[in-house]
Amino acid sequence: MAKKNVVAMLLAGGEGKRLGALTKHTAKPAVAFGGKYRIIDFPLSNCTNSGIDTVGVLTQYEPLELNRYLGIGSAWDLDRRNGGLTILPPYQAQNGKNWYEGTANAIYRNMSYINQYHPDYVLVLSGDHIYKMDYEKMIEEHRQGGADVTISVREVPWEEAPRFGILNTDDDLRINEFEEKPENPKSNLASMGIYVFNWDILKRHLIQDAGDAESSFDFGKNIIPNMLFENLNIRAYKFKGYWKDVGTIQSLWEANMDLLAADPEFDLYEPSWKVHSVNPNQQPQYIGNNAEIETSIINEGCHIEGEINHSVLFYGVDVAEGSLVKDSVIFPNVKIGKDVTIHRAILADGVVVEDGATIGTPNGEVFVIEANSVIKKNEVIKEAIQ
Amino acid sequence: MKTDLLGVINLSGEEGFFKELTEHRNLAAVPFAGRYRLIDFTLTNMVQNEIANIGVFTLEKYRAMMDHLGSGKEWDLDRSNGGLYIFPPALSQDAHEFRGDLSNFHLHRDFFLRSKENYVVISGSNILSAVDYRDVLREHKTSNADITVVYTKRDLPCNYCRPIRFSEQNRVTAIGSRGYEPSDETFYMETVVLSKNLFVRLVDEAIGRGEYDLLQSIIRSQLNRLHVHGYEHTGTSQVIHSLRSYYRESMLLLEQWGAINDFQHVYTKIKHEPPTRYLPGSTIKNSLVANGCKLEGTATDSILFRGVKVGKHARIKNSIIMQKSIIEEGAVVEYAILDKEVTVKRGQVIRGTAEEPIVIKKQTIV
Repeated sequence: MAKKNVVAMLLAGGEGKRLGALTKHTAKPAVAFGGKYRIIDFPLSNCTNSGIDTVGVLTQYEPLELNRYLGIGSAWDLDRRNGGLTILPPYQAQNGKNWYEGTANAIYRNMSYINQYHPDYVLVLSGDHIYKMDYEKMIEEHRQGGADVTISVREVPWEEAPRFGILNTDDDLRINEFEEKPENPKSNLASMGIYVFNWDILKRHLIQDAGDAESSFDFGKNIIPNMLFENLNIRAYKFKGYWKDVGTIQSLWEANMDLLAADPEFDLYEPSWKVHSVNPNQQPQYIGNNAEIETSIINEGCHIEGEINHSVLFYGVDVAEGSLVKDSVIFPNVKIGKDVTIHRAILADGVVVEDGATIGTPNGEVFVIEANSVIKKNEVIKEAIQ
Repeated sequence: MKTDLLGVINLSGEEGFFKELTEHRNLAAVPFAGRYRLIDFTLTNMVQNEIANIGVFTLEKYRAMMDHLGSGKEWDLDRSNGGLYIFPPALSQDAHEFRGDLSNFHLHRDFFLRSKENYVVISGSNILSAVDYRDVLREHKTSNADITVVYTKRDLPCNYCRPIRFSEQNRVTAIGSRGYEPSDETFYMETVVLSKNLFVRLVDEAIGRGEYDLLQSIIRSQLNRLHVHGYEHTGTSQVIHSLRSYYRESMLLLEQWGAINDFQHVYTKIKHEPPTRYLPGSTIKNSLVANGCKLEGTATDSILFRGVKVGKHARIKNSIIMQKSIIEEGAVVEYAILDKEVTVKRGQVIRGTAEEPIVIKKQTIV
């Protein structure tokens, strides 16, 4: 196989427990976002837009929907003869091991995939965040600084720093310490879980780590501390721009609402940085005579006759006359009947809301209606169904 | 299962229509219904009839169409065996100059000879319908016809359509000329099914006689010699042949949306546009809106293609706004068709009438 300068490894096996009903039957990277996308579209589109054409996607938890979505990578222009997208599920090895036992273990188990391309650099990504980033710039800085490892960081408010993995650096952004959720942080540079490694160095450490019976086979807990101990040149790459962890219902909802701002910090409409996604091939949206739409994002295939206010609607959503959808996120193919009121809710794929039902309250806690559930005529749901 | 039909989309003969929107593109590539091009409908219908080997025979101004069709991926036609073929005229120094669609078929006769299918379906691109080609083939076989032509009944006048006449058992006796405007008539849908061997033979014979017209030489002149059967398509159809019919059929989509139109499964080229943004101040009524639009003004009874921007207090009424056009603040557009990438500057007014919608050419700044 032809040599590749960079191979990206995208960790997409996460369960996303805190997303509750949304990840009951699907992996977190396959969760819907922004009226059209799934979380994994962002790192994958970043790869495409950064000119990285060899991406291994490591799957583990509930992979069916994710596998179907990824296909052979065509949506991201990653259906390549040489390189392209490869799904890397766990497999049974000679030593009888089955599941990936940690982030580092997942990469370790796929060393032969990476070796095929003889890369100089391996880019490790996670499928959990909403952001746009030119990885090429990060790799360029890594190369120019003669680093062994580069970790992408962003500045977080000092008072929030104790919630993150914090990297302490010298003035030259060389990292000398990693602290997971420090009580008294010495820096406010939080790790984004995006790493560039020189492949030969990473390979040596992965093999070393795999032989350590005490290890939890994790980049943050084991690999990076071991590399620091060895006094390798580990540098921080400062990222400025929108970056959102959408690991909880609340943060997923907030990130969707962020898109509705008058001048959104996260711009999906930048022509030079298109976010690719699998196209559901829907007809244009039809907006009826009685529809009223304000400050909303609506995708193709919707048929709107009611009122939509400050909400995000995915494809194929029907909203009948007399209904109001406010401060909500409506996933694909949800059917909303007449005279329905919905406030501050996330309706997952294929939910059916019959006439006259009420979901949520104008100031209540945001909650999820599970995929394919049916909300009966005139039913009132004010909080999450347990 | 694959259908035993070779698909032919014949664009020769469509060039003359509809100059306003076909200066830079052929009729097949004219944008329609917010995100499609006309050829999408025939092509999708063939694919849904499980026709896996399709040739598009084109004459001129095919750049936009070639770009649109690409490798045929969006229609699942990027195959190593069969798939999508595009046949521009095979011009060479000693080739006879182009005289009609038959010469294009004749020059590309290897496409027919090499394919495994035993039957051919030939259709144009400007009659949008979901003709059940498999059913046509079935009826073609059971009626023991040599040639089967598809017709439909229409209430609307159609000065493009050719009237068709039958004797007993739907045997076709005549196909008339265009420019005839009867009401409640039966019309030839420019769609024909016949065996491949017969087709190739008829083409060769016609070329030998110095004839070059599909309808005249393959169908009309054979009406007495061969059994030409009529198949009735009972579903809907939209005929687009002139600016007026284009505008009328577009506006009809809005009247009937949800009732008869189902474009859910029509395939087209993917653009990776984000969803449409509705900003404060936008008022959209009875309109079709594609993805990637940014709306701050008013649009009623209109069709907005992908990536259209409507500024504050701009007003659009009874209009068709094509891809990436920009209607700036306070501008007014009524009864108009704006081709791609038109900009209507602040406060400008464009106003046509329901009978004579005004057309603004591609990339114009008004």
